[in-house]
Amino acid sequence: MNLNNIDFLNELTANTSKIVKGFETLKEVKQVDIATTPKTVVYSEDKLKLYRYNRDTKATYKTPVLIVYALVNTYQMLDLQPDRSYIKNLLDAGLDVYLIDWGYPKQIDKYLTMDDYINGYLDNCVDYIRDEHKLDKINILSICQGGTFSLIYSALHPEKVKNLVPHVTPVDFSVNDGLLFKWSKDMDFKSLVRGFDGIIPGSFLNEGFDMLKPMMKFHKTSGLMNSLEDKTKLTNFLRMEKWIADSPDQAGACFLQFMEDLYQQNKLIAGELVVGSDKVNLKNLTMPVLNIYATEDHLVPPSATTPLGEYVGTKDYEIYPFQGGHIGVFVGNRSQKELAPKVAKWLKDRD
Amino acid sequence: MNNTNEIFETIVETQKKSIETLVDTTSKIQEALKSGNAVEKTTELYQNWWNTQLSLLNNVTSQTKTEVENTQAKTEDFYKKGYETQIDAIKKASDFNLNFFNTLSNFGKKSTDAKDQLQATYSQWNTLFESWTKSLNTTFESLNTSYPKTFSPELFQNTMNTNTLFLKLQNFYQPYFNAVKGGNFSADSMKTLFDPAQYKKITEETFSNFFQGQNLNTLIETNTKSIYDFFQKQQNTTKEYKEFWNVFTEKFPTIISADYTKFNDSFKNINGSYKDLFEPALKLISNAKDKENIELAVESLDKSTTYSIKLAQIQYLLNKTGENVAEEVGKLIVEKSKKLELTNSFQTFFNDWVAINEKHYTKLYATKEFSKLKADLTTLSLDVKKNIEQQFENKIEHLPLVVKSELNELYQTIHDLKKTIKALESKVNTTSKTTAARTTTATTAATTAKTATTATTATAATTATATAKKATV
Repeated sequence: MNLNNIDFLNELTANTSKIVKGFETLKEVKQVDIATTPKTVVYSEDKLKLYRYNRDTKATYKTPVLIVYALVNTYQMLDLQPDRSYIKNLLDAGLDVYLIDWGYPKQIDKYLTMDDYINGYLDNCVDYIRDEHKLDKINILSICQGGTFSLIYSALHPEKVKNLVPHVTPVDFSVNDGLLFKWSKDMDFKSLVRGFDGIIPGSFLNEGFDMLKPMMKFHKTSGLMNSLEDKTKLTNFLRMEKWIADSPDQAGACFLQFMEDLYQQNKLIAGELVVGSDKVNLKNLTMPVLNIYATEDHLVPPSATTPLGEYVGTKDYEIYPFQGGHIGVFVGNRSQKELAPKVAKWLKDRD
Repeated sequence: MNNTNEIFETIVETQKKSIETLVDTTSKIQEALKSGNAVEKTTELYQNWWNTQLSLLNNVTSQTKTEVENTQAKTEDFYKKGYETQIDAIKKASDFNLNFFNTLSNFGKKSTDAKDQLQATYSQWNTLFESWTKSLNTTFESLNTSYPKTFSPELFQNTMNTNTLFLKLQNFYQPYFNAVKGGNFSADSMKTLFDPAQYKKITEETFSNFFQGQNLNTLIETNTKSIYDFFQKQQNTTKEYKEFWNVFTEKFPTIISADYTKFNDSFKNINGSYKDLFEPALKLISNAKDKENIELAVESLDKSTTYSIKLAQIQYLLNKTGENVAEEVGKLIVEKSKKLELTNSFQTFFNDWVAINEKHYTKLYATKEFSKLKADLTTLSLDVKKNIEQQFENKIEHLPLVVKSELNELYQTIHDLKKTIKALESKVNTTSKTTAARTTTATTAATTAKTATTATTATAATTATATAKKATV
């Protein structure tokens, strides 16, 4: 054992030098831009915007896809930077891509319910695209909570969905192997919504997500320390940080139903969930389904995702495990080469 | 403190001043009533109060405007400070390096000289590092005020904090390493070397969000003061009423000394008159709300106490886990030293420490006990927040301001109306589409009928006309 004060001082000095250098590198970073793939707003309603991604060439698929992201954080993670963009990869594969940006709910939106989001906003976007393309059905690609929304939507409106591709989507909420699922069982969500006066702050949710990995801040700062001297690395690091920090607040009424009916009472797979005036029956999912999950997901563990096949009505059901975490599925190196091609091929076979 | 908070605080300050002027005006009205010139004085006092409110509102508008305008200036200030900090850091780093060099060059000399020199350098480094960290943190705090939520400048600050923790952790574990070096480190000696108080500080630093007691103390103090003030006020009110009653009995001895029925009637009349006389002032003060606020304050005190107890419980769990971490880290040092796997890098040790922490705290977070405590703490803290907001609303609801609960009613109404409108629009669209489809079918059928008639095919014409009629219906 040779570790002594001098060794330590050397390391500390090296770290501090990195920080000083990082200050210089930070000055060189002019702009931390994310979600730069060109797109056009084609429909809007209240705070929602429906984007259609611009294409230079005609799509090689007959059926367009609608991407439904979660209400937590923003869709921009799907287009983090040009060389890490699920959206760009889908476009390159020849798809016509639409995406819902739910916007940032304010006090006036606090009474929005799951019914408003699913039978209102989502249905209106689907109708817009169906009208635009003169098609009865479109493809839906969905992520996390957006995936759960899309399962509910497709079960309520199966006549409008041609193919369904949920990614990292919780369906069985009774599982006990994710901290989020454990903590949710004990939380008094009514008090939470009342206490936050009907709007759940994004920062509150982010604090919860941070706690899922107790030493996250040290891992993160350690990562930052190693990126400080490299402008590109630092910019990429800041892109991810920018996305994480951009956490929209949640409409209390919708949040309450989602947490109580799903996380606490697991009503979706029990066939007891009511959205609007209708009971949601997953057996109505008769369209082809490609269920994508992340094997190392600590937010939505595989055990919450994989049971979907037991409840759907379709015979064309495929499950696709992707090695990585909840976010790595979309931004990881391997993802850039594998995910979009897999989804594109699956859709092509059913176009 | 961020920009939004500053703006909010300006508004809160204004509200506070509003209430102060309200209380002041009320007491002046009471004095005017006592002195007998209530009518003319009350009007004047109202006028003054209203003017004060206006000036306060103007003030808050201009202050928040300035705050927003200051953002740009603050950004420039940040860069200036950042630059100065760098220059300062470079100078201090040069001094440090010089000393460090001297230390190394002393190594050939007497060992005590080198040791003393090293010690001096080390303590100089500590001072330098801490002051620099503090300075940078201040700089970054000022930056935080200038950027919107979507940017996270605190990242850099966190990095600095991690480096500080790195330093503290090294201070804590250095005796372990020294013991290993001296060949007298074992699981037993580890117990002697372990300093629970010091490690508690490290745990508090690592999980700082669970160790912020200051705000809670302030809250309890404020609530206690508010209850004390209320009862003080009540006593004063009783005192004033007694004094008034003494004056009254002196002025009207005949009424008081007469028979009880006469006294009772007179009292009712007097009381009624006073009610009329006090009515304007009573509109400003509501004892019911005062009382409600005191009840709320008492409730929030209860909840704050429960919160403190549960917070202490969760802190105990965190500290206990911290001790387990320290124990495992100690064992790791023993194992690695036996296998000669300990490196010269503290960073490697730090990474091990982080990994062991991750394992133990993830295990703690997954327990029912932690989950329940965390949920209770969240609920309690939000209940107290809501309680204080309600007290605040009760205080200001007499002012010409729209309060939150009224806005909530409005939001709910807007939501319901929007939903109704959207449903109606959807119905109209569906009806329009159906009508358009029927019209198309009818036109097509009519054309077919005409063609059929021209072709003198009577049967076809009759069928087509019937189809057209059906479609139109």
